Amino acid sequence: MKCQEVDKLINLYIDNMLDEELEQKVERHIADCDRCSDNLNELNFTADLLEKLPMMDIPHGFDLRLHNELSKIQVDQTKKGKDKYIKAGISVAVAALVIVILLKINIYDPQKADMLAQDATEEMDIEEKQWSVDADVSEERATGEKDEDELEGAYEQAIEDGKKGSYKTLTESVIVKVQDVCATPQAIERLAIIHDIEVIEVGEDSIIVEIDTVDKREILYEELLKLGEVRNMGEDTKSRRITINIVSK
Amino acid sequence: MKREAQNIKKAKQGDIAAFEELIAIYQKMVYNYCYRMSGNLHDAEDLTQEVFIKVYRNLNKFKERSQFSTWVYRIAYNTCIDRYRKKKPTDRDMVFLDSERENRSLKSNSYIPEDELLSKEKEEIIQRCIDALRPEYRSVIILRDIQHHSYEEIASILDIPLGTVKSHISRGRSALRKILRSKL
Repeated sequence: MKCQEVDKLINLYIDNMLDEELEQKVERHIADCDRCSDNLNELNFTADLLEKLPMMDIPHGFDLRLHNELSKIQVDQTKKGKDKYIKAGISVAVAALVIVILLKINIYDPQKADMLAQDATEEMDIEEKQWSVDADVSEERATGEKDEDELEGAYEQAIEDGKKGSYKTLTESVIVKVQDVCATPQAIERLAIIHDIEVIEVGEDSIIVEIDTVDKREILYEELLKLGEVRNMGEDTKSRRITINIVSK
Repeated sequence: MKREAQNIKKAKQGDIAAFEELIAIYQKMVYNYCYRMSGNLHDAEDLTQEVFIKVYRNLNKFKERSQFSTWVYRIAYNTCIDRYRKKKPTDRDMVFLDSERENRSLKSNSYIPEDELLSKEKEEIIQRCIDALRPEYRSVIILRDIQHHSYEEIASILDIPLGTVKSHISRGRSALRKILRSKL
């Protein structure tokens, strides 16, 4: 066995991870080689120092402090629940208001309106204003639904493409639906660095990367698939910059 | 193990007492991991608390595909790395200078017995050398050489292939050896 081979195996040798045959070969080499036996001694010396580092005791009062923090979280969660409930209540109320106003407008007789036009101008103004506010609300909802539909479509398309084995559908922005708490933008950043993908910006729930080859695009897609469900969001499949948004399932 | 599964179930429903029993055996290990990763005791306590709060908040996302301890360690690793990212690199360099200053003042303190002084001093130097490692190497060295996890465990904690664990251990050890040689 050569020194180079021993160098490659020496850490596994220290950790007792070699099979008997290899272990004996390494031992035989080290017995005859000053360089490698020095190397082994130094590694053992380092391991020994690390071994001797003391275990620290948890600081006094840690349990109590943690307990207090955990109790706060429980309170937080109930509050969030209540907020949701209130929000739901508000949407129901808004919907009811829209229906009421729509009905009111429907039964509004234009002829009568003409007759009363002069007296009622002010009143109508108010009603029109209300109507336009409500119209905005419903328009917003409609757009929201449309987005959702488009999203679904893009997602299905992505699955289709995935089946075909083509990863080139990765567009300028994607959503990654994750279950793992550790799938953070920082985790993706580390993956990007490993694969030599340039990171442009790291946000709280998103990260922007720049990709210069098709290979890297595929690698990125594969890595994202490991983290969770990937949804393509944009249309520009040739974009070099990709925004990855992380949402939890 | 059965007890652990029961406690996980209860804790997922918000039972703090069950959660505390669940994490009791991991607290010290996580605290020591965070200490060796961050290089100081104050940050270690802060980080450990953050880790367990994250564990508690995200318990519903733990799918029991991996071992609970592995999952806890993974969160600890990510928490330490995120903290490290937020700190400017210069902060870490400063730590080294500060501790050297502290060591000098310790040397002149005659109330501490000679033997203990030496070991405390050595211990501090070793920690500074660990601090000087790249975070990925630092993590594998702590997990392997201080906390004695198997290669396979380290691979699942850090979510990297076994081959990468092997090369990180090998490179981390040789880097640490070089730094120690220059400091001891």
